[in-house]
Amino acid sequence: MAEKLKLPKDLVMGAAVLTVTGRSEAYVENYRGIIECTDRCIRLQTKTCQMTLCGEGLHIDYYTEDEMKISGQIGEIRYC
Amino acid sequence: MLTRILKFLKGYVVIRLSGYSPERFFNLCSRHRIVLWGLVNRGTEYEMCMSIGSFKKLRPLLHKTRTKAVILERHGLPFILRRYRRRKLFAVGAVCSMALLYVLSLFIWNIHVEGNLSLSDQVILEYLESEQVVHGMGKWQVHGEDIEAKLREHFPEITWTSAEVRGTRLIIHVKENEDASFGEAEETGAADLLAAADGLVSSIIVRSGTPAVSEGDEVKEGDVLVSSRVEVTDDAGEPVSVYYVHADADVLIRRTERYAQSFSMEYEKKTYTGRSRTAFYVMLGSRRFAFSLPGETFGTCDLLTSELPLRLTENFYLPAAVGKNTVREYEMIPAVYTEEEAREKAKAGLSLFFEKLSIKGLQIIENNVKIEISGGVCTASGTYVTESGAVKEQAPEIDLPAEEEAEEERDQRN
Repeated sequence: MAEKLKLPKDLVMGAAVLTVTGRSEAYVENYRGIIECTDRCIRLQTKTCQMTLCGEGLHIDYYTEDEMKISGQIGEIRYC
Repeated sequence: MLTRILKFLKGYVVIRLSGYSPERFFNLCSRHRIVLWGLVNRGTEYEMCMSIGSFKKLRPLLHKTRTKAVILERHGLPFILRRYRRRKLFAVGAVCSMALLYVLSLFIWNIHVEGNLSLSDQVILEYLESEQVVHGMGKWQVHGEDIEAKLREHFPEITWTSAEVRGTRLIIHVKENEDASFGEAEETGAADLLAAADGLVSSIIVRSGTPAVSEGDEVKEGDVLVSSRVEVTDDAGEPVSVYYVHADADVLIRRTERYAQSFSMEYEKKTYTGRSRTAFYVMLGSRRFAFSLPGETFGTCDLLTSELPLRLTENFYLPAAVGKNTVREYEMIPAVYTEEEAREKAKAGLSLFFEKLSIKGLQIIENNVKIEISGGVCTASGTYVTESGAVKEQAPEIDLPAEEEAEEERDQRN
């Protein structure tokens, strides 16, 4: 339906948007909150599932209601 | 960059968060629109930055999540102001210095002249001073157009000027007339070209007038080289009409002259004894304050003075100067030139002489001067050949009615 109406999917489905630059930066939009935050693993709650970013030396550059930026050595991105 | 400035102006704190549920604290922060940045995990604790305003709203959140926040660092303008709040005089001083800076910026502190080649800075500055354009004058007193007009009027060689106030500098841009013939009498009326010296005509190029001599001719001073009289002839070669022009030509006259100079091989040599004394002084206005140590007096001595005028900017001199006087004693000891020295000296004298000639516009074509040493005397003698455009102008003896007639005839023909 979203495709038919040509509406952005993240808006209609409430899907999280993840933009990764190389393996050192990630921008996340449309999330609910943080479940876990350490320097090896950052777990976020989105509308439909959980998103986990694992790596080394991870930290959050900024954190607002709409958007967050994660930097560090990203090793894997997992949804569950 | 802009965000960094805003953060600095608003002020922010670095806090360390510890306790039961830090993740819930982050989520609550985002719900309450509290922006966090620089979030780093340190074992069980977290460090992060937040603005001062956000930190004040933190108490209920900390209570709810059973966490504890400790301020580690404070950054930004509000903290700096708070730190110096007791230093009222410092603030007053800062404000005063700003005010002083503003007031001082209303005056001209440097006058800079640009583009002048033949006129020196000093000449222009002195003239400007006589027109009340001086260092320290108010910017509101500078009337660029006036200055420009006066400069152009006073210095005829200046063809274009522009007075520009940039900051506290007054920059005078000047363009000078680059034509070398500027200042010569205007070429009006008829004139003959006469030889200004005896010699041989080596080249003659006539632009206007009738040549009276040709290449290779001997001329005496006062001979007519180029006549201003121009005759118009008919087919039979008979003069039909005559008119007079201002003769103009490049004439080179070659002449041979003698050079003779001699000097004795014996002379008195100036020898410094090595004894010297230095004294310092300060000039304030026209008063001079000297600081010197008492010491022995010298017989014959050189006095070398070096003075450093004090100035604020490039051309803004204060009426003060510091200087140094150095006195060096010497003795005159009889000496004799060696042959080499004598030759060098004679050569130096000759080249100085030639240099003076070339400044006068003479070109040295041949140099047959020989240097000889005999009988305790060094003699430089011989001939040299110069070439120069030695000409002068003179009003011709004009048969005025003839010229008028000629003009009439020309008019009629036209």
